[in-house]
Amino acid sequence: MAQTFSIAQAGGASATVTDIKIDQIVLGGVTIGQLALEGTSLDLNSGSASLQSVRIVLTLDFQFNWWINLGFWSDSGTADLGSLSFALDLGNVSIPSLGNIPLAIPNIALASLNAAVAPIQAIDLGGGNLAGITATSITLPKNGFTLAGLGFGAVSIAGIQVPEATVAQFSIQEFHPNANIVLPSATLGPVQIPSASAADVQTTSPVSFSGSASQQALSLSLGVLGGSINVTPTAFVSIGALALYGVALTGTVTQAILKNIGVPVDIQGFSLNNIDIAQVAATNITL
Amino acid sequence: MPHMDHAQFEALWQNVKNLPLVRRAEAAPIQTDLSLTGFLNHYMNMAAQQREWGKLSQQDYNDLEAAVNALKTVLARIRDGELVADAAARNAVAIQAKMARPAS
Repeated sequence: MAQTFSIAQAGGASATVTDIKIDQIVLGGVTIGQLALEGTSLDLNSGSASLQSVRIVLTLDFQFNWWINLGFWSDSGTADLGSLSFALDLGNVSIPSLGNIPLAIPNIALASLNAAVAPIQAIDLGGGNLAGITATSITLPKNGFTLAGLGFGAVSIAGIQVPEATVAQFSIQEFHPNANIVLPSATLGPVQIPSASAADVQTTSPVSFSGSASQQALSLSLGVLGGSINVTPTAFVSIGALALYGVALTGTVTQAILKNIGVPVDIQGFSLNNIDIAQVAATNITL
Repeated sequence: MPHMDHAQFEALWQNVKNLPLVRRAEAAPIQTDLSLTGFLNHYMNMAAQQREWGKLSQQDYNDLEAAVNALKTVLARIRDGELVADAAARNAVAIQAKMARPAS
C-alpha cells in the first residue's frame, strides 16, 4: 500500500534554476506612452494657394524669312521685324488645390498609440533566480520519493521524481531571468499624423522668372516670291508673394522611438529544470 | 530663354505698364539690280550653265549672246538703270498711298 505524506505549507527564501524554457509568450495590445519620430518626410497636399500681385510682361519677337525665285535669278534672306512688349497686371490669383510639396521635419512627438506585437516563441532564458517561493497543501506519495543531500539548514535536490503529486498553490514573488528577453519587431498600424494647425505660409520676397514659347510661323507663297512671319512669345512674370492655405500633410518616418511601452504578457509552457532551493521551511508534515 | 531678376523686371514693367514697348525692325534693304541690263546678265549666266550641261548648243549660245549684247548697248545708252529706279520710286509712292487708305 502506498503511503503518502502531506505538507501543509512549504516556503523557500531563495532558489536557483539552471534551465528555464518557455514555449510561448503571448503579448497583448501594446500601449505606447509616446512615439518620437525622427527624419520625417512629409508631403504637403490639397492646400490652396494665392499668388499676390502677379504681373506679366509679354514680348512678341517677329522675324520675316523671305525668298524670290525668277528662274534665272533667285534670292532669300531673313529680316528682323522688331518686337512688341505689353503689360498684363493680373493682380491676385487664387489656386484651388496644389499637388504634393515635399517637406522635411526633424522631429514629431505623438502620444497614446496602440500596436500589435507578434507572439514570442521558443524562449530559452538560460536560467534565473527565484525568490519568495511558497507552496501550500502539497501531497506526495511515499513510494518512489527520494531525497538526497539532506543537511541541516539547507536542502539540495538534484532531481525530483514525484508521480501523482498535487500542489494546491505555488507562488513566486520574484523572477529574474539571466538572459534578456528580445522583443520581436513591432508593426505599427496606420499612424494618422494629426492635422497641423500651422499658420499660413507666405513668401517674404517677390519671385521673378521668365519663359519662352516655341516659335510659331505664318507662311505665304505667291509662286515667284514668298516667305514666313515667325513669332516667338516670351513671358516675364513677377509674383509679389506666394501664400499657402489649408495645409494637409502625409508622410513617412525613417526612425521611430517608442517610450513608456506597456505590454500585457501571457506566459505559456513554463518549465523549470534542476531546481536548487535553499533554506526550505516545511511545517505540518504528515506521513 | 532670357533670365530676368526682380530689378530687371521692375525696369521693364515701368517701360511697358502704360504703353506697349515697340522695338523697330532692323532689317537692311534688299540690294538687287532690277534694271533690264541686270536681268540680262542673270539670264546669260543661266544660259552659260545650260550650255555647260549640254542642254544648249554653243551655236545657240553665241547667237543669244550677240543679240543680248546688242540690246545691252542700247540699254546703256538710255541708262535703263535710272529708268527702273525712277519707276520704282514712283511705284513706292503709289503703294504707300494705297496702304495708307482704309480698306473699303
